Amino acid sequence: MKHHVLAVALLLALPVRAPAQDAGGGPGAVLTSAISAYQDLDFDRAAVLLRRALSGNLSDSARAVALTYLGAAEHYRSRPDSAAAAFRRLALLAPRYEPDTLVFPPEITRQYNEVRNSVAAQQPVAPIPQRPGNATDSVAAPSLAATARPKPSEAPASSAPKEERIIATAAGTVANVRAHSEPAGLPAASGAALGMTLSVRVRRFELGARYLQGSLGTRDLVEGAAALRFDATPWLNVYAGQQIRRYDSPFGAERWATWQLGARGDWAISGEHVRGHAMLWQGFGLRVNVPPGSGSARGGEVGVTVDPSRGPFSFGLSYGVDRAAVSGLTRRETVQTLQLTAGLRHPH
Amino acid sequence: MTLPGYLSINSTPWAELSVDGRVIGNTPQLNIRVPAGAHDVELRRNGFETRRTSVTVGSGSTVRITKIVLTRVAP
Repeated sequence: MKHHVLAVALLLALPVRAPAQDAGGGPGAVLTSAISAYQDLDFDRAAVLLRRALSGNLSDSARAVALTYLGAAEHYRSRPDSAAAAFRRLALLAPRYEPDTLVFPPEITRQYNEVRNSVAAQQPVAPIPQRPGNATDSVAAPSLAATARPKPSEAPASSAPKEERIIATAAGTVANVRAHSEPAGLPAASGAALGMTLSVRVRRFELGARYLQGSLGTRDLVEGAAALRFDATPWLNVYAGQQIRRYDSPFGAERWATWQLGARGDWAISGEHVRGHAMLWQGFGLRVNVPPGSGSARGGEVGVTVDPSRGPFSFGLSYGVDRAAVSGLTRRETVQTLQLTAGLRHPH
Repeated sequence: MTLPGYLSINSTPWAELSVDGRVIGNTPQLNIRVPAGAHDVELRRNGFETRRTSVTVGSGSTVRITKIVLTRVAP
């Protein structure tokens, strides 16, 4: 077990790629930092931060601004294909959007117009009404509000402003669980389990619940957890919650319950769409019913998530290990979980 | 032998950049190769007051100026 915990700790200690770690706050704050980097001619950093901001929950108007800056940054990085890709996304998002001609010189606006015209020729898209700025917009550069605010004539009178402030996620899980007890002499147990995860995100807070059930051969497993997470930075969240694990065996039902306090770091592995994560948690107030006792618990997880571009689906693979020890070392329980997850997010 | 230096310049709003009277292009401009020494930098845009400044570039070094804000011409 010590090796597993050590491995997770080492993974957490690695200098992971956290491009926005110096741009704390939500996507709006990251966007502000990105624009600042752009103005300081640090186009490499601007591009990284803009992609980070775009992977978060931005309003359409802020997203349009971010895509404009991304296209321009890629232009000045001599990456015309990436610039065209950003402008193409912008043209699909808001066909009637016009970049700020005070900020962006003609070589940028011309390139954007060429891409927009080609998009319009290939795939006519109904205009998407731009939304009034929300709280995440207000921290961006002044040009954001000036350029992305819809003209009154563009917004249908009947269209109420929509906010992408609540994101719901549901995921199905297939897991291989291996449980090992010591020194009570219980045989190691392993088997498959199925489960699901639900979460609701509101700005920087996320409330999540997880359920897992399966047969480990000598005993059946039912596990549930609920946690409240907070995005401390764009790449790090902290969370608190409770986990309850129940084993049913011929000897009766065991219940292990613990409060958890943990942190999770996320970083980009490949572009916006493949991300890695590492998580460590410490348990408090562990309670076991058979034999009655209390103790401590801790654990961790590493994994990778593939999130196809602007799609509602995501897929994940993760490996977690945790250990619970009843005081006096009368019982230690180590559980390793390898799980595959397929998730659906709304809105995406 | 004296190495050249480099100028990187941005402005708000974008403007046409000239160095020593030679038009370079619109800002932002990165790594303009110039001889080491003093250079006249001019930023010009219709509707805004022209901005001129002198910049000394060391041999082999890069001078970066990114906080230039042009003011509108009074109506």
